[in-house]
Amino acid sequence: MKGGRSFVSLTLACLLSFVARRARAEVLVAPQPRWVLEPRAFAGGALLLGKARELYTGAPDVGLGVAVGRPGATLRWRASLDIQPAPDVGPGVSITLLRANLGAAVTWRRRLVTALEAGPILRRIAIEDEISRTALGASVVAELGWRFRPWARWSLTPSVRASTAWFYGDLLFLWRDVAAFITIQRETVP
Amino acid sequence: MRSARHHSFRVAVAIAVSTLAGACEAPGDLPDDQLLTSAHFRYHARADTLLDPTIMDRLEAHRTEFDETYGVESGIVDYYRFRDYADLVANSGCPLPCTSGRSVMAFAPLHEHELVHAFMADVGEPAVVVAEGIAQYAACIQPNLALPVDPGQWPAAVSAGQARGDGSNEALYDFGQRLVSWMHGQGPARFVDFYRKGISTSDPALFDVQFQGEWGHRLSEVADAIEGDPYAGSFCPCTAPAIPADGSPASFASGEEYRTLDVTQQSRVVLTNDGAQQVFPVSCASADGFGGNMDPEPTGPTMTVARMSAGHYLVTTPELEAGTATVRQAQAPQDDWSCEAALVAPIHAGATEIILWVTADRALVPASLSDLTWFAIDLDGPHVVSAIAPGTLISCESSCGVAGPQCSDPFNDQGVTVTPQSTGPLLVGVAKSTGEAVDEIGHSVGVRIRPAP
Repeated sequence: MKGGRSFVSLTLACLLSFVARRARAEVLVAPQPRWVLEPRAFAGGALLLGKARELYTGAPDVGLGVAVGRPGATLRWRASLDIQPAPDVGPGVSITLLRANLGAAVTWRRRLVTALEAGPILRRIAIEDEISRTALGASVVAELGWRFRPWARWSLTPSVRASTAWFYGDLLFLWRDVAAFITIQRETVP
Repeated sequence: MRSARHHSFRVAVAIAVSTLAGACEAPGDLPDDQLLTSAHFRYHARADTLLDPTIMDRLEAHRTEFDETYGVESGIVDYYRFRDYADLVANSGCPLPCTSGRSVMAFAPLHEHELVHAFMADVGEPAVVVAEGIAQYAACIQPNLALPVDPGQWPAAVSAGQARGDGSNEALYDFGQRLVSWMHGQGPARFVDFYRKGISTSDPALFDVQFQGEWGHRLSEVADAIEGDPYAGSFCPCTAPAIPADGSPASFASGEEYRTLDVTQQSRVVLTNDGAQQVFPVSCASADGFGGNMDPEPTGPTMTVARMSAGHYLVTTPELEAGTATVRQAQAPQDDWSCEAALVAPIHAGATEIILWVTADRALVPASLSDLTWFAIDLDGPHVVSAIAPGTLISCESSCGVAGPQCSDPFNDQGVTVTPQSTGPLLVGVAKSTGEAVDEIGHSVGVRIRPAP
């Protein structure tokens, strides 16, 4: 829990620091003339934390998204959609998380990626023919990764993410997980 | 006093934060002019509340019994006793008595249901239906009768926890009590472990997944199983002192304590109370509810005449009838409860209020009038007859087999006035009625006979 909080705090601090410096830089440097839109895809696995771990320990997570920014800039605005299916939690029981996020990512020294995203999340629980419920919630995701450029137009980023979600209907319970991901993203050369 | 004020501030902040979940609003002016302390309690009250310091002994005894039964031990409980209901609503942030963590907000001197929440506070924060269920189920002073919940409605009962602050959904409490009764049957330690690991949710699907993971049954299966009588009552370990069998009195604070009673064979048990409270015996194993708070409250001594099977019973009083009950018992084995048998030992109804009581296993829906439990009442003036437990059937005869005055009116809770019979004692037959939800389960039935005003 504390590790997760620290991670989110670190990511947030990095982002704020960057935005402040970026604002100063904008005064001196002429803005880039155009924006680029870079598609990205990611896949990984999540490990649940806290009491959610009583339900199941882990699940795969895959997603698609886009990053928007100026060519060569270190800041990218992000939109992403990911799904985390746990089809075999118990006999006839499946739990699926579907998350849509908006956020920002900053790449430090072309390598270190930090990102913070937030958005709505759906939790669908189905128990064979007994009951199925979809709960709406909100989630926050913090990411820390290392960016490689194995190809000219694509980057490959292994990363770890920590996410926290609260669903309507849950009272004092936060659904938390940590995940390891590989992201492939189109890179626009300035 | 200063530390107490500091503590109150911290509690106020804690409650304000915790109630963001929606159960309550932020509290206002918490009672803290008077403070009583004991090993496990801090008891806060307003300056104008008359406090009996022995309340701390009763709180400790109640807690010891609970903790030993369930093997739990939470920290010190802060009991905020408000002046009255209006004070509670205005200053607690809750529309009804409530608990946040180990802080209880109530206006009753000892609120058994809320105290259970506080006793379990350090164990965990499970689904609301479990938290409310144990608070209803673990009851000695105010046993609760859980009405049956349609098995198909269990998701609605579980999800009602989202709005528990308004206390409006009885299914949450009834289903929760029955579900906890089932889990308790698998072993108190296992139940406490489930409570500890529980997820704080009112999402029925999430709760079902967790329940199935722990107990190996789906909730729909268990909802079917717990519709029956064995899951209708509260549970009490009944470790309180017994009312002496030799006829000497046992005194206890009404609404704050109870006493126990052992019956070795089916008997007519007479409980005389020098205090101004109604007194009810209820089975310890499955306390199936008891008489309600019916206006007007007794103004003088009462006498309960009960038909009881062999067993271990608790003896308690209605919640709002304050004061000290001083109770004596007398038992006489009796198997024949016919009208003719009743005439052998008529009950004199003078200034003393009479309660006729039949415990759950003897309170059946009758096939004929001969199946009723009969009592003969020797009236010395007009008296008011009224049902005191839900689902009570009352029939009166002027002599055996001869219809007497009408002595029940389903549309009048205040009862029916009867006068002395020229033919002798009034014969009152008592049984369980049919047609209402409460009649689908076994429960005690009772009749109140009080002097007409």
